[in-house]
Parts: sequence; structure tokens; C-alpha cells
Amino acid sequence: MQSKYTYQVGGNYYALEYSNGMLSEKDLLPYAPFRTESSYDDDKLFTLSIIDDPEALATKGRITADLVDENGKTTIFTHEDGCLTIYLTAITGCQCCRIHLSKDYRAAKAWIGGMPNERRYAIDTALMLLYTFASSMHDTLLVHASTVEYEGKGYLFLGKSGTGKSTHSHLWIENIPGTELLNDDNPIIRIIDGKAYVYGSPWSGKTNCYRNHRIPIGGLVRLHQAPFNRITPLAGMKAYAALLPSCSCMKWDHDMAEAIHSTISKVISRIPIYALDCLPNSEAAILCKEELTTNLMVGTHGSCVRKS
Amino acid sequence: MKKIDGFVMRRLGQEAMIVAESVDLIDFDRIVSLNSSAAYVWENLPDSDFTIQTIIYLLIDRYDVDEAVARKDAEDLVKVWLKAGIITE
Repeated sequence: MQSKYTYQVGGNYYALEYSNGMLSEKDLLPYAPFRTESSYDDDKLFTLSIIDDPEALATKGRITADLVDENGKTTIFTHEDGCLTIYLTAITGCQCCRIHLSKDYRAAKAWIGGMPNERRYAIDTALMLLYTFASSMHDTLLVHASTVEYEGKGYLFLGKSGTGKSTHSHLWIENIPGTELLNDDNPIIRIIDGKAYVYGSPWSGKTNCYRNHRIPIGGLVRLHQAPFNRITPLAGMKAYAALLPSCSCMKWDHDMAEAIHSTISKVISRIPIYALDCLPNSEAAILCKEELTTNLMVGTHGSCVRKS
Repeated sequence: MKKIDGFVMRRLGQEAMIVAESVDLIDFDRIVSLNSSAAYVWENLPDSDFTIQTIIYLLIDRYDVDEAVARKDAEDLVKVWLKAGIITE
């Protein structure tokens, strides 16, 4: 039996099709809160069909990119007609996913294999890639950040891997009553009717936090480890440089890079952006919260230092 | 000298900057800011090889400066861009 479900993530719709037994309930656990009963046939970003034969996706085309991160390797091939083939290799070395994607990013087929952890990596990575590609033209950014909700607003913490994004979120939760986690790894930023919002997503790293929830953004903070706590407002190009490295994008694709540039430009002109040099302690969270919730004007206040 | 493939100029309001947009530069996450004359030079430099003299001509052509001043500005610009890694010798 063929199943077809529609999901709403970051306010955008996509569809997933598969036959019985190809995907389990466990595989799709993070996606359950995002499933919708509506069909929205015309409005979908993309449709992903799961197939059971990896050989059907064996033609690769010209290798375009070989990207390695802490979870595995993504290899992207480009065909002469502009379609893409993408192979995913889990950190275990197992090739666990092959994807074929149409030139307009709207139609995808994928084969998924491997052990449960490899399957989860494959499904999540495939859907994140497809979502990023197809949503880039819709004022949407999939960002690498940990995000909390406080008094109805979202605060995003960005930084290189290992900087302490999740730790900083947890410091807010432990020290600032009323704070909740919205997403721990890949929230979605969108501009809607001129306002910047953050959404939870099915992609939350190692934390089970899959919230289908949207709130206005209260601020975005790029974290840097330091032997002290100091928060500095950023404007213009510095704000841009704080957000750009955390946005998922095939930046060698001209149209996509252009769209991401346009969305980042809109985001940074609408929300307060800061750099936080910080220790992993409660003072860092409290300093950050005080600055973000009391000074809402961008660029009109000075840097604020508190020694620890 | 030559621009390194994959560096692209982008504008943000009145500001201009160079960002990396290619597979080979995937780990380059810095942004190089350009003032208005640097942005003008970058935009008008060819993608093929150029020399200090190319930049000097561009500056003299656009701004009311003599060659000595233009040469000094061109040399400073090249130094900064080489250090930033957006052009090669």
C-alpha cells in the first residue's frame, strides 16, 4: 500500500510518499507533529518518493561537491540536464541514502538503507537538504542554532560546532524562569509580511524537541567561547557575517546564494543581532537575557561588560 | 594578479563586501568589507589577470587623483586583498 503524507515545516508544505515497510513509525517520529491532514497540492515545496531499489539511482553525473561534517559525508553530483544526484555516507562508513532531485528541486526520489541510526541520519539529512534547496526562494533560512522561547519571543544562539549553543540554551532554561527550548539544532527563520519569525523543526540534533510552533524573533546571538562574559550589538556587515555561516545553502549555486543573501539582508534589518563572548555559566545567560529583553533598539547602545 | 574564483561582491545597503560562493571555498566563512572605491575597483577588474597598473588606471579614471596617490592606494588595496586571500599574485 502506498502512503502519502503532507507535512508543514516552517510554514512551507512538502509531501512524502512511500510503500508499506519502507519507512517505520520510528523513522518518522520527529515528523509526526508536523504532519497535516490538508493536501495543499499546488503549494508544496517538493515531493519526496521513497523507492526500494538503490540501483535505480546509480547514475551519478559530474561530481560537484564532497562535504564532510561530524555526522557523515554528502556527495553531490550534477547531471547534464541540471538534475542532482546526492549520496549520503553515515559516519559509520555505510552509504545509507541515494537521492535524485529534479532541476527545480520540486521532485525527489530517494533510497534509504542501513541500521536504525543510519536510516535516521539518511532521512533527516535528505529532508533537510531538500527543504533547504526548495525553500531558499521563499524567504526561508534553515539555520544551525539552538533556540529558546521566552515571553513569547524566540532567541537563537549560533556558533561553530562545539561552541556551546545547546549549553547556552540550557543555561537560560535553568536560570531564567519561563524559558523553554524551541529547537536545539536546526530552527527555521522566515520573513512573513515583513516580520521575522522562528519555527521549531523536525531537526533538533541529539535533543528530542520537535515543536511545530512559530514565534517572532526577539534576537539572534553568535556565541564565542571566552574567559569572560561580554555582549556586543552588531549591525550591518557584522550582523550579516554573524548569520551567514550558520545558514544552510549550496552557496556555489548562484540563484540559491542570491536568494539566501536577500533573505539574510531582510533578517538582519529586522531583528537585534549580538556577539556574545561567554563562559558556560549562569551569568552569561542572565547577561544575554538582560541585554536582549531590555534594549530593543538595534545599534543604539554600547557594549556591556561584566567580569566573571 | 587574479581574483580567486568563487569570491563574489555583494551589497548590503550602502556597504559592499566579498563573500565566498564556491565549493572550493566552502570553509571560508569570513566576509571582506570594501569601501566605495575598493568596491568600484573590484567590480571593474577583469576576471583574467590584472596588474597594479590596471588598478591605478581605474582609480585615476574615476577619482580626481594623481598617479602617485593612485599608486599608493592601489598598493594598499592589493596588500589587503592578498592578506584576505581573495586575490592571488
